Amino acid sequence: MSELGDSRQDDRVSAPVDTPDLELLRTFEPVVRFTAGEQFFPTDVDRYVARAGLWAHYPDGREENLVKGGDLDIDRLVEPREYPFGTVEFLRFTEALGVADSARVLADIAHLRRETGNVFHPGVGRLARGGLVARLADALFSFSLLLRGKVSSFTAAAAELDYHHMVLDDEKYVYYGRVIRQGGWTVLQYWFFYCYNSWRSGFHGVNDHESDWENVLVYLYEEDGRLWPEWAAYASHDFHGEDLRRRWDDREQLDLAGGHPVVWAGAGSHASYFRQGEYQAAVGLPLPKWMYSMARSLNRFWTRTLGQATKGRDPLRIPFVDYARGDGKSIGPGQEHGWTPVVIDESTPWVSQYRGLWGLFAHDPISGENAPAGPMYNRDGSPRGAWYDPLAFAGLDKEPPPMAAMGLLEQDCARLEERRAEIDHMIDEKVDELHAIGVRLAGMEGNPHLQKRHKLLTARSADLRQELSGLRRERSENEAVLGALRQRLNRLKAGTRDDPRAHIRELAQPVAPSAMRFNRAAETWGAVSLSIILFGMVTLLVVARGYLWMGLVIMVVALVVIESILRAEYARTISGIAAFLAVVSAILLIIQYWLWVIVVLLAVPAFFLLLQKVRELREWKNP
Amino acid sequence: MAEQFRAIGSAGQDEIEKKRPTAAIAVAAFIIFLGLAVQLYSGITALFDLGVLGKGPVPPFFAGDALTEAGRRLFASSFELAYGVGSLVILIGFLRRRRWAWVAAMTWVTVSLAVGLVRYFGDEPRFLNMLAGVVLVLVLNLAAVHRAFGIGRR
Repeated sequence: MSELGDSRQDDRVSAPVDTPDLELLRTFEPVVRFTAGEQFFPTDVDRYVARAGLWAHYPDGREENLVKGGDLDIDRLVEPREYPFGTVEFLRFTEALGVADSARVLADIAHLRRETGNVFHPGVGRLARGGLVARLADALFSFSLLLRGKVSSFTAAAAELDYHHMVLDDEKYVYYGRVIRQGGWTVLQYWFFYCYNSWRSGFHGVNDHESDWENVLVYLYEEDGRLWPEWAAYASHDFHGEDLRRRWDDREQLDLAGGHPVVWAGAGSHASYFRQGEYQAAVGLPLPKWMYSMARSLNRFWTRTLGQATKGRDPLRIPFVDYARGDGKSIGPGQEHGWTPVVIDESTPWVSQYRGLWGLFAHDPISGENAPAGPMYNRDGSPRGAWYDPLAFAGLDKEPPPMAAMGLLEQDCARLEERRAEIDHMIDEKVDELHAIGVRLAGMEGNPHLQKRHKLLTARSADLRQELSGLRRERSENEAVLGALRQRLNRLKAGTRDDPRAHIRELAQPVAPSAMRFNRAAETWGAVSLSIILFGMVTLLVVARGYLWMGLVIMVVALVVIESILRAEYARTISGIAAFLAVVSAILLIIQYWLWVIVVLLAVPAFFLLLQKVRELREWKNP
Repeated sequence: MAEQFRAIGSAGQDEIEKKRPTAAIAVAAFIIFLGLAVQLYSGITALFDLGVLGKGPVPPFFAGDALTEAGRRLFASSFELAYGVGSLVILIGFLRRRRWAWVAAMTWVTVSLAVGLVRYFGDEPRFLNMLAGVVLVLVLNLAAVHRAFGIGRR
């Protein structure tokens, strides 16, 4: 921790406003805790680039090796190059391997893992957590990797070996820090670069890709010449905007270690979590948008129009587990390994001048297996929101720093009070005028020769009444707003803070331990059930082809029922099967009796309409 | 504030749960009753026809190790009778708003719909049974009925 640090309460640390950027970054730098079995840790880009080759993928499908692996450095990386539209520039950390090399790499990896003992134990896995439908979707998702581009498992192993050699040469853990002063806030942005994302190959996750960029932000505000932390925001899979940040004093949601925010990194994915645990991330299947919109419409009809209950999981999303156990390496102040910080900004050449991907372009149309671009850019080369607008990234662009908020509230209250006095004066004036007109109008009654004048005054009176009504409405509304603002101001002055989680719409929560207590039978069943169906199909095809459909239906129903009993979800499952059969039966009934369906659809409203009109008619006859 | 919200929320939930979906339960009970009445009637009349009940002659039900025609009819009608009695138990549990009765009714209608579809594709359609099954599923699956029977709370 920096010597400049000043502790105010518990773990709250502050720094003088004029603290140099590097020291400011060090004062609030995070502690990152990894899961046992993690193979890649934050490292520097220089050594990565020195081992990588630079490539270009052209729109005609051709790929060109621009700079060979070993010949590249940062200076050559940022050299200006011209490409046709649609070209993807990318780095390649590990070159394509032949059969012999692949076998050697796998043997070396096995040896390395035995030697280091750095092995991941999944425990009760995601197989038991997702239902049969989800597992079927998972199988389809895995199958889709054959059609989409993917990073091969040999690439993952080779990257692990290369990274291991980098660590043997010089073991250092790097973050790239940046200080931004925006909207009254001082934002500290910590970027972590990993050689590889091994979530799929190492931890049964969604994707693998070469290189990985993750970022963590700390938002500081100024008070009494010092900078105090107010929020921390961690980049994470499915969460956006306000859901990404936690308030510094929210001890239930933000762990601190000696005044430093603690990040629980997802195994392989390196996604950042606020709490230790295992997270169930749901990933949408790569299906066309119209299928999702059709499913949503059907679901709306089922639940809203027909009033049906639904407790089902979304079958179009596959549950994956992101392990953020924190039982592995821990990096940061006061931990077994410290950080090597590097300050970056737009003037850092590799940050602003290299817009390509930082690893293999795997030709994956949905980008899951393609490497990411650098901290400043998206994969398509457009500017990255987290870089140019770190406040909007965590939904903080609409919130002033705490001290400024009080000043703004006071200003707003004063403005409203001023307006109230103004309105009161205007109301008094208009009331006097209205009264005067009223008296005059009463005096003019019964004098036909004054009709024209009377008419004019009546119109003026109506206008005045309308204006008066508008002013009174505005006063009443302002009074309500003023009351609310004053109440809030008093709360703030008294030191009462808002609910620290009021801004969060979807809270990332680790899976509760109780929900993980699947017994061995459920877990084993989860692992083998899909294969049983497939073997059963094979048996039916070979032995009893005549009963194929009947046998298949019986087999699937039996499997589903066993599954639901094991998962204690029989009621939900049987309800789902019944709903499916009811829909099929309803369709057959409609086809069979389509004429009668139309007759009923026309006759019922006709009857009700007739009834209503007859009732109206009777009321009219007998007032 | 959050505590307040929770308190208000839970009171609202209680209110909702107190409101019993009487009409829906009545419709479901009526369909279950019709089903059990048909089963019991056909089971009992078949047993009378066979002479098992009443004073008629009792035909041989077995010929060696195999069932005779009368034996097969006895087996079928006994099954119908048992099915009817089971449905009666479900109906009683259903009217007393027991969770197990909802599960049993849903299982019952699932089997009934499956049999209905098999018959449909086997050119022996029973459209009235299918219609009753569809209505019963829609009623049992209503969110209000789920709440009334405590489904989805575990």
